[in-house]
Amino acid sequence: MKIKQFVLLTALLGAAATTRATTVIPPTFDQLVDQAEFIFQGTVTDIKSQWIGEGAERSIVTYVTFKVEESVKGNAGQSYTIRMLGGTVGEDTIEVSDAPRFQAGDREIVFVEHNGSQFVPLVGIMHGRFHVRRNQAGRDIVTDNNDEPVRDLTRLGRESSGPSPRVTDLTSDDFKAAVKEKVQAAPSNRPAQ
Amino acid sequence: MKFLHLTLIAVASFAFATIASAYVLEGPTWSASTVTFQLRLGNAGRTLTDGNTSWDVAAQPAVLAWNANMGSLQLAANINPGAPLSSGDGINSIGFSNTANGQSFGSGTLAITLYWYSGGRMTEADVYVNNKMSWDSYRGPLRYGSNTYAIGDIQRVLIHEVGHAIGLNHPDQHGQNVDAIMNSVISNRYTTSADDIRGSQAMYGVGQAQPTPTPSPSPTPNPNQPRVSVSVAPGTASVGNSAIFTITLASVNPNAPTTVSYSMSGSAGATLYSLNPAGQVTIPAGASSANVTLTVLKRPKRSRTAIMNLGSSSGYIVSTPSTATITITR
Repeated sequence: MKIKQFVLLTALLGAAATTRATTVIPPTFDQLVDQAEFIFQGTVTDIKSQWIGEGAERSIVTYVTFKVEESVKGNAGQSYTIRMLGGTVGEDTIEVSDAPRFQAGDREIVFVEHNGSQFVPLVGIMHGRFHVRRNQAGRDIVTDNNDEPVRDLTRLGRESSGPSPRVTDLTSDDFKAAVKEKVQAAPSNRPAQ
Repeated sequence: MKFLHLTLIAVASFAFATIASAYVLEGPTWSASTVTFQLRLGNAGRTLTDGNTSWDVAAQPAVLAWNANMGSLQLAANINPGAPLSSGDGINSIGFSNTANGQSFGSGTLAITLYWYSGGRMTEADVYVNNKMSWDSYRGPLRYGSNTYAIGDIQRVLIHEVGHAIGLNHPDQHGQNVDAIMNSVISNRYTTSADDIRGSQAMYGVGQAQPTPTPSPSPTPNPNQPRVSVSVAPGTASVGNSAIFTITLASVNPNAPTTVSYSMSGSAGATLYSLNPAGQVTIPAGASSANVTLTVLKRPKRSRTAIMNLGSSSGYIVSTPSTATITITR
């Protein structure tokens, strides 16, 4: 009883602290899966930036290449490259607020949409990128763009930011299994091939 | 008693999680003392919740919100419907758009800031506001539409985006847990917090908070005072070429000359061009205009802007347009 009171009160206080809406509205788990054209786990192997375009739309873009370790939705092939607005060429840098930043060697699960035409081709921009981290027990867990462990998929994109009732961190296998289950449950999510 | 004890533990636990920590800086900062944003958001076409009918008027306080506490940097906001919203032109612009510099926003993106820097110095910042989202202008707690999504408050979103433009990052995405409008999750907070202010002061020093000025009675306009405005042609120039700023009188004074003062701003350094005459220009009696010639002396690494701003005087009334911008191209 005491613990229930404590958890409830803490949860209520947490929920009151923040409410939904960001400069990017975070998608729910269902939206992440539904909107993504490709979902895969991979390791960043290469990052290159270059100038593109002319005149008013001249800008720097960065190509981030992943070695695909497992395709979860769609077939991303053995390697996949996303194009993001922003980057550094020589002395010049263009930064985009809210854009996720990748480093070679990063292990990620990404939800890709509109690659080549969207300024950051991830569903929900930074919310469409999850890190795969090895925890102290030697298990691969999933963390969000803020590097907070993901524990409850039903809370992604939801208003409450209070503590999750689930106390264990979601493993990457559990996370991918949930994605696959969602993909298979909705015929519209099944890739054509 | 036991419940009270648990309550205090819970409150203390939560308070511990939200107190302390601090702002996060992006790294680059502005070296200019004044950075001007061109607002081109336009008219709302309706009366917004805060009573404004212009997005630009509603947005102006968002730009100026950072000024009171910063030392070496001050921001200015010009309503300029003709300003381009494009990246890399040296003009800092804020406007609605259906793309982010030619690329789609993606679902759920309210606004983004593109900022350019070189050698640790900011050179340009543009805010692209997604015109496909639902917008209003209101203070207080977030409001929600019938689709359960928050209605974008143009002012608080732009305070956040301008925070990026001066060099602040998201504290909550860097392991911090602090009350800030710079958090990636926009909340019921609609003004800068103490932490946001400390972040701006870490970059630009401590300014003297400006007391709310006591409005002074507006002088009665003298209908005989001439009205002056400025234009420039061509709108771009490269090294070795010139552009002409034309200062125009709305009505010719046949009896006396009119001397008009001006200042320059923009991303182009003063060594990049020369001005003739410099600082002020005299429109002779009986003439309707006078020219200031800007000559580009150096080739910039990339496009820069030079903005002429007409100064005020008791001898004339500054009319619109009171500023004119030329882009110095590579």
